[in-house]
Amino acid sequence: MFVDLLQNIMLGTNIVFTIEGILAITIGVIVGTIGGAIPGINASMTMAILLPFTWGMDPIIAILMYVGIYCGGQYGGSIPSILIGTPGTPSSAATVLDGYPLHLKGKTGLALGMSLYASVTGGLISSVVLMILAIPLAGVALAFGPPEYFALAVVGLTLIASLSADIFKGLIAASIGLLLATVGLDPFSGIVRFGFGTEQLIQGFELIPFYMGIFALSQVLYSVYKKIERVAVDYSVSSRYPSFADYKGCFLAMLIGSIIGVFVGVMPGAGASIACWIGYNEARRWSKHPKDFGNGALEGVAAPEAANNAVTGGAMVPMLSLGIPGSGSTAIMLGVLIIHGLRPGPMLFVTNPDVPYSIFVSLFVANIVMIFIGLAFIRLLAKVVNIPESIMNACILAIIFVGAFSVNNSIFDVFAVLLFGVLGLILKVHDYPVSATALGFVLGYLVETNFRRSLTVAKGNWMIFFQNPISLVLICIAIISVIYSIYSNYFKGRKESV
Amino acid sequence: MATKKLLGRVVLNLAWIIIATVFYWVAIPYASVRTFDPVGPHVFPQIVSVIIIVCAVGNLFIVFLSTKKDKSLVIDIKEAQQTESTDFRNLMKVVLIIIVSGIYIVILNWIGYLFSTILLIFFLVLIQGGTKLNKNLMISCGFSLFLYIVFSRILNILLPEGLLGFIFT
Repeated sequence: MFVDLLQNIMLGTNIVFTIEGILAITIGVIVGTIGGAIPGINASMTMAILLPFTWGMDPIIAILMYVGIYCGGQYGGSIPSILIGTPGTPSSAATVLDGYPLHLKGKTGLALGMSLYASVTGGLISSVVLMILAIPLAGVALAFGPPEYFALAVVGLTLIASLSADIFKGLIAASIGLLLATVGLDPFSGIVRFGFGTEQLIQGFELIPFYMGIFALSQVLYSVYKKIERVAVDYSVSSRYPSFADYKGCFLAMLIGSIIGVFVGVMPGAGASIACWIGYNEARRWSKHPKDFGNGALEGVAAPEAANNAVTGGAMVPMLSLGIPGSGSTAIMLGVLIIHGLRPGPMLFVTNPDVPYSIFVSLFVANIVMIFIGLAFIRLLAKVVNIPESIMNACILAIIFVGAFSVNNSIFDVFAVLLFGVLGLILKVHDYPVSATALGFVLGYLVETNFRRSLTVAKGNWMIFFQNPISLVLICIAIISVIYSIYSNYFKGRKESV
Repeated sequence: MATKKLLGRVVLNLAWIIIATVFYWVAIPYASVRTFDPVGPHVFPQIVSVIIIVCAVGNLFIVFLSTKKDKSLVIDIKEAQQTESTDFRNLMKVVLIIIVSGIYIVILNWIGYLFSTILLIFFLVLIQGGTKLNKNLMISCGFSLFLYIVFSRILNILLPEGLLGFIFT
């Protein structure tokens, strides 16, 4: 067992430590950091925009690049949080509280440096946890049958829906994704469903145009709709970087942030935007100087940044071991694997051990690469914040359209991107969780096939979902999460939007 | 403003109900092609449609309750008008971007990738404002060419050459 594990880790190491592997991770970290540093662009959007570029890539190299983007995107978000007091991504919102005051005090280098070190620390801890949790969890999941898988996917969807500001909106968003996934050939009978006589809909909607529209195009349209005037940024990083003593002083905050980040990451739907706030609050509670928080405390930068980067490893646990992504970013990573003919889940550890083990190693390497990229380009990355939004949006739209066209050389895919972009905009404007729609779409096939397989095995007896203890527990969790959300949304006063 | 938002919510939830009903209705005939599985291709989309309808009705009920509660809502008219005009301006920009994008998709095959993309970027920057015309033109041409080189030459993807394809051949 231990020898197998070591062999598989060596297999992953051999793949990652090649020129292509290191290059893919480095490019991913650079692109992710730039994406995160531009306000309004997050890791999911960067990943969605780059999907067409992975088309001709080796699937493992593509996923290594995406691991780099994921890590870089989480870190990059802290740059505008510190420089302009506007988070680059929702997961860096808590960093503003102390990062921006540090910048105003002239300690920009200290804040940016600590954010980098904390991100790396959180990422490294999460990469170890990913390996510890994912492998045994995948072993357990190997025994899962169709009812358990159906129940698991339902739990994932209901949890992500119930964690949104409004449970009804969350459920509608997830259901729209599920409904869109039913378009095209039925896997059991071969009939074309909801084709409406259109030849292009026979195979259903493609993942790439869907992701590009729902994550990237909708975000561009939304940023135009909710235009926030940006201030000109003084991007001179004049002060010193953190010393070892500074790092040591913030270590407890980083550790707290990392543990919370990993834990929150594993939970479907929670994500980095929640982890950063919990990490910040807990670090303040455990700090020796809680009164400094909010006025430029270095720990106030370290904790949320460690938390949001620690989410990366945590979020990959259910994606890799169960095939159930817990966030928009991991849903896209799952999509990358599906596009290349791989189905994440416990069987991946058996059939393609090179994929999960190279992801484990790459997460570790991506965080190391991030130190060098961060330190080398910190001044340059700070300038990215100043690119005019109008130019940025226009260029992103051009990439999206040409990227969507390049998938199948089809104008229909470009129309699909526009359609999903408008759908995503409507959802965002009305506070529906877009990530729930994305999850519904990517899990649609899994949910339906396992639902129907279960009923086929049980000869139509719907009690099969309640007779099996694992699926019974999972379905109970799903029902309780929905009922509790309805109670807390409408009877206990509305929850704050997350 | 508040009334408009509520109206928007009502319209959106009615739209969900209509869309879900259409999907439910269209799925009914699929029952006839049921093979070995006891469920058939119609049941799953119908269950999902029912969930959407139930949730949308729930949302409408909440909207109804909130209108009853918020009758005493006091709105700063000046601030509301200002926000409304900004929202409207931005909404118009979004609509124009969608229209320009739609036109781009239609003409992409006809006039070819390079020139349609130059026009796309130029008009998208123009709609959003904030950049001088000559700078805009330079960015449009430069970025379109950059994308052309990346996709066509490096990634070997066939991009539509259209009417002006002879330039590249």
